[in-house]
Amino acid sequence: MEFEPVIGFEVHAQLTTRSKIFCSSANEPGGPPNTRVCPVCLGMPGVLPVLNERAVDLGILVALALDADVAGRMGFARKNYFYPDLPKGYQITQFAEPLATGGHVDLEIDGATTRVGIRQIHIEEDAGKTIHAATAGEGASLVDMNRCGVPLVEIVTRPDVRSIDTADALLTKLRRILVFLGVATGRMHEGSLRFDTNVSLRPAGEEALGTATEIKNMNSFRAVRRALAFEIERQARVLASGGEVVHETLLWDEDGDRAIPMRSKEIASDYRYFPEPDLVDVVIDRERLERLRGAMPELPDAMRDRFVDEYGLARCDADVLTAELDTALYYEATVRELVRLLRPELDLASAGRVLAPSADVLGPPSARVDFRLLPLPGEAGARGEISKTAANWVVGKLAAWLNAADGIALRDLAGAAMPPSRLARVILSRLDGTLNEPAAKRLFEAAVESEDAIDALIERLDLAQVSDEGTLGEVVGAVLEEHPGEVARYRSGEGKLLGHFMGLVMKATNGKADPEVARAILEASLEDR
Amino acid sequence: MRLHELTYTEVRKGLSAREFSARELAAAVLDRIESVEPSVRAYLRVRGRDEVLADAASADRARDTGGAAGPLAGVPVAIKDNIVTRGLVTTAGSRILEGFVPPYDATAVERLRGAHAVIVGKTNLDEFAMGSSSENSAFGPTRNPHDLSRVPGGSSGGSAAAVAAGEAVLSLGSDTGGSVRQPAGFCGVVGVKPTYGRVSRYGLIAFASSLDQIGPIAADVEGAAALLSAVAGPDPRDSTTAALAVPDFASALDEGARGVTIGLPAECFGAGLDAEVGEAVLSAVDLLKREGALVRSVSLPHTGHGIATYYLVADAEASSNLARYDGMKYGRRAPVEGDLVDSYSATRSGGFGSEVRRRIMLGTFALSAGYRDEYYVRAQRVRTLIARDYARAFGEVDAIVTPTSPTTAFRLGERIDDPLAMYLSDVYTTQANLAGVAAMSLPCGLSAQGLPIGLQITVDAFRERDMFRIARAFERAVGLPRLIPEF
Repeated sequence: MEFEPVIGFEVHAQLTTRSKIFCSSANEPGGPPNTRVCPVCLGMPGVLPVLNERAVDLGILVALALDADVAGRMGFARKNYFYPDLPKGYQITQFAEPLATGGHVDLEIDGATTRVGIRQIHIEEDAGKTIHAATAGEGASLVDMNRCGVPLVEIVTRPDVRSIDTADALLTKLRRILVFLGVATGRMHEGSLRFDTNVSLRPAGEEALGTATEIKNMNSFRAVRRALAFEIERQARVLASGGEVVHETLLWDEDGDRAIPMRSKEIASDYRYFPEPDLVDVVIDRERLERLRGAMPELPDAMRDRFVDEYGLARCDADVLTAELDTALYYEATVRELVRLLRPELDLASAGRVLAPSADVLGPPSARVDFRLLPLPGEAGARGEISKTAANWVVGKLAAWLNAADGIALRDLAGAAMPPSRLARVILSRLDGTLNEPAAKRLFEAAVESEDAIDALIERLDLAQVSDEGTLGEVVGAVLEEHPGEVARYRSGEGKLLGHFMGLVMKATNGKADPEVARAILEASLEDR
Repeated sequence: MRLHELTYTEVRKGLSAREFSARELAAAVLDRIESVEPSVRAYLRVRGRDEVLADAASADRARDTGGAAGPLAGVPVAIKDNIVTRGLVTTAGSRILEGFVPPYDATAVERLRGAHAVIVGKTNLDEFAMGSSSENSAFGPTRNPHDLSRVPGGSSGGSAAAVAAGEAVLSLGSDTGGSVRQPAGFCGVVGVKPTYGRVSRYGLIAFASSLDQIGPIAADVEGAAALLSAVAGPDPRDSTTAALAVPDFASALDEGARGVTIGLPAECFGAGLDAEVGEAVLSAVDLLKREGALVRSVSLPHTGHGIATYYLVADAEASSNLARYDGMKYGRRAPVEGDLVDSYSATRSGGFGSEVRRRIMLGTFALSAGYRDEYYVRAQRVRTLIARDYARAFGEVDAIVTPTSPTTAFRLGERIDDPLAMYLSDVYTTQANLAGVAAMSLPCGLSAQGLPIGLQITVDAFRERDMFRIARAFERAVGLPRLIPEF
């Protein structure tokens, strides 16, 4: 029998506030255990939570970005369960009065649009971390409370996902939206983005839903794919053999590549939700919504479309450039630096975007220059050459270098060895004909490793392109002189030998020959003889 | 002059007139503690003599150098042990917090320190403020200074007894369902449950968050008003405090009762009320009438549901509030072989007393799936009805006068095995907490056995000024002598 999976998600993302959601302890990942804590997030006797309004603002941004209905009034509730990393014995979350309901995410998969509904969006506090480390001693565990009270936004989707690929597309898109909004870092290796999933199977074509299981504790896209594959296969086996799927909660075991049922002792059967009496309801008025709508950063789809319009890029290049916010911002900064180099007299200083997502997500929006409106030199097409060349570099050589240098993030590279202004100089050396393509590649590689100025590198490595017709004419003459046999074969119709001659010319010039000039001279010389 | 016998008003006059110093006053109070504590046991911990005297001396210096000292400068104050004090062990009367030294002050305590009040020590209470007799303390009961065979009431029994016995001039208690007013009534002192949101709960070890309020206890109305003024007002660390400036309570004290309308709810003068208590309260009403107050009857039709509603709401919240005492972070952890759940069970079974465990179970049940609607949700609905009763009544009258408790202080052990009888001591007091309004108890006479009788005045939210005005008018008119027990 064919089965169709029915999949829904709960996505938890840590919000990028400066302090925690209910106290003034720092909200930063890491730190020595139990140092970013205070009596409030440690749940000491008598302390009270005070809501960080910024967490509400960031939650509202998420709701607006997902087209959800933001509640006019929201409130908090206690979810009661015992665990050592939950110092109060309850989590402050939202239950009956969430921040927002409804909304959706549209996914484009193989040219078709799939819509996944959002059930609810709410904010809550994170728990600490329990470390079952060998260092704790035999059978002992340690607790790190640094994460207690870190604000989370939880996005609960409808069970609208029908395949692992769609699941992957959904989570990737949600992550991009959160990062583009500036409300989350999306750094999954730090656990800042975590997924729980509900999955059930039903015979293909049937309406009635099967019994679902819940899988918790996935913090990478790969883990979600593996966990879904594991569970779909397991449920299919159970159903195919005439068995029944048991409603249970499973824990994804990354190392074992399997989902393990949680012991019933580890799961509270009843969270005894009730309204949090230590906090007052939050009224979200129209003014606040409008202020946030006005402060909303550009979302990934809008940015991709703008890259196509504004920079004249192919859709596929725009997709790659806007896959990660860091890449998109890096690209725009590179283009701006190129313009600055080409037209130093233009005043772009106050107009540019900064590279990193603004530390103050909700700060006043920074001005932006529309590339199409810049008075750039040259005939039509020059503008497109700038933006497309920059795109090729970022998507091509830069991406390739990062891939090879496993573990280095663009953010780090941009902050040190290769800021956009430096890459712009490399690109310019190619654009203005100083270097040919292979030389420019060598220059890039040297520029990442060295701190020397670009001009100095070009000189030191002797990379400048040879375009002089006289010089190249002599080189071509010598090459043809040395290979009379091939010249004869070329003339008798073996046109593909032109590439061979080009290679010889490049070799003779240490790769510096301007390929276009060299090719023209070669062709002319071969005709002459 | 026996300094420990002075009321707040007398203390304040004496300090201002330099008749005695804060240091001399503190020494007198410490001496008194030394002589009567073996009988009363109002305190769980008294601070070291040197520390207390040093604080008093520093208040004297502030008075000498600063000229106009604040109204609490140099006044000895006792703090209920469910209010956290930085560097001073705070246990809430529970084994589970034995030895807990808070690294922070409650806002109320911080304000007292800022006002140069002299903190004397931490007073006894029913464990986690759960009880009406102070017998539920893990560290032994406090006794009523007026009759050592009787309870001082609870849960702020230590705070009320300390003031009544001259072991402190003022004290802070906490009132969740009557825990300041009932012991104040039993001990013959003045006790106030402020409007919910008037005093910050930051640092008050939570019993029932939506009902708890810190409240002052004093031998006289002026003392209670002064202490409330010092600790009240908005606090950024407690979102449930009201963003309202604190009115000048002191100026209300001389305004008299003329023209105020007092309501008598028939529901609070029926079955279960001790005849002596009822008579004392009604003659107090007569006195207020002679002072120019208008008296009429009002109806609080849902009064009869107060106790049931209160115990469901309070215990539901308590079951969650007390979850943090798991032995993992502070306080006591039971040594146990086994897994996490075994550790929780052993720590909490051994660390909490039987009344606390009873309430945790009751509250857990009231919130459980399948029962939540029937108990917790329904109780919240009745709570709304009770609040409406008060809103309607305060449309007609300025204040409601009732007995504080149906009886005078009962004997130690008399009700400890009968929780329902114990809960009924709160039959007139829980409604003010459920409705979020302000109420106070003040002495209105003695029973034939010489036990104090408490009069309760309830006013609408944030109308404490009216309450103090009526209370002071009565206090002046009745002119009861201060009872100083001798042992």
